[in-house]
Amino acid sequence: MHIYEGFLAATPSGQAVLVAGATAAAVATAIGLKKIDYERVPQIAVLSSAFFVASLIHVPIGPSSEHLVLCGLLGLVLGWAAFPAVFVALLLQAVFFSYGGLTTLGVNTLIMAVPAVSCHYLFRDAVRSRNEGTVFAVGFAAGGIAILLGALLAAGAIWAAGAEFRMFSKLVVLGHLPLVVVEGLVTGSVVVLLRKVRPELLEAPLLATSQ
Amino acid sequence: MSRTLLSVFTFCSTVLPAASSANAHQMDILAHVHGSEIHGEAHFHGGVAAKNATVTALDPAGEKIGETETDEQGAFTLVAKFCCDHRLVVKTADGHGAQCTIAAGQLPGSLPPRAGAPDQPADHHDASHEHDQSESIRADLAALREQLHGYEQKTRLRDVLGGIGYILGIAGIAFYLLGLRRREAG
Repeated sequence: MHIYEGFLAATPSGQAVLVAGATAAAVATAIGLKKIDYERVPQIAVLSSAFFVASLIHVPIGPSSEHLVLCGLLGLVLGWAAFPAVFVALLLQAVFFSYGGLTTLGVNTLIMAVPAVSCHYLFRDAVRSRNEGTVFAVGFAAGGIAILLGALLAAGAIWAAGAEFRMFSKLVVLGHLPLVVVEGLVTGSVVVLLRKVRPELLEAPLLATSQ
Repeated sequence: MSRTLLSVFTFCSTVLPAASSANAHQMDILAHVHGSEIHGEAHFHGGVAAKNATVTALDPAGEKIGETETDEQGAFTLVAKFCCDHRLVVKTADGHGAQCTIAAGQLPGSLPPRAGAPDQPADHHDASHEHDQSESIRADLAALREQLHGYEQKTRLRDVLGGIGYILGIAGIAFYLLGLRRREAG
């Protein structure tokens, strides 16, 4: 899901995409920072760490492998605070593992945090349901839709960069389709678990553990 | 709060330097075969030579088949008497140690096989010198590749832990700044 360093910088329109991405990400991260409460700092740090490490968990899909992203989960738990969390984790991934890069940091932050915040608005009420099945379905949908949205955003950024990149944008979307299911299953399971043991993270009542 | 800080400080100032100095005393032994001689060197992590350390060669059954000492530069030479896997164990007087293994395939087939050791492949004994050499290079490369892989895994783990550490540090700064904002508001 990361756009690699130097990939978009080759064309003037690609550079424009990078600058626009960086500006938008800076504004959105500032909004996210404004919304952080003192009490929620550890929560953001833990999810940022999870996001940082998740990129190392590779799921074999067909001939290649994709790594977990967890942006749906980040959105459900953090809301707007997903922006600073994603920004910090992506910065560290770029520095330590060369995933993405410093010039693509803004665009990549948008690609992964916009779906997270979208999931927050789409599912924040539904995730409070008292029915375990519904909660899993909501988690599944949030995880899956976040990946789909992220892939579409990445494809859009590549598409906007110029005609020579357009073949890649289709590949980005197709390549992420299997991950939609995997990420949906992971996010669904985590959300059900959170509702059972730490419902306050989702600002929802405790889900009954005994059937 | 201050007590927690104090205990964290005590932990950092006592345990961490101890851990890093233990790390500094980890040893490495490297060896290669030249003819029927095994040359090698032993050093501590950080490159300091392990002087006057005992190097013992053991056969696959764990019996001693040779012994020598490292010189001032940490280097040693051992004449192989048998064609079998040589496990080289280096130990310093203060109890640090490391080991590595020289595979039987790297030693000349003209040496007598060690009784009780698994049989060498039949073609080994009458193989040409060139064949022996390429075999030995291949074995060396395999060992090197394995070592590199292990090293990569180790750095990867360190990067992960380092990244998480950074995130915790940033969280600490966020706490500080939000705490300031809170105090000003209150």
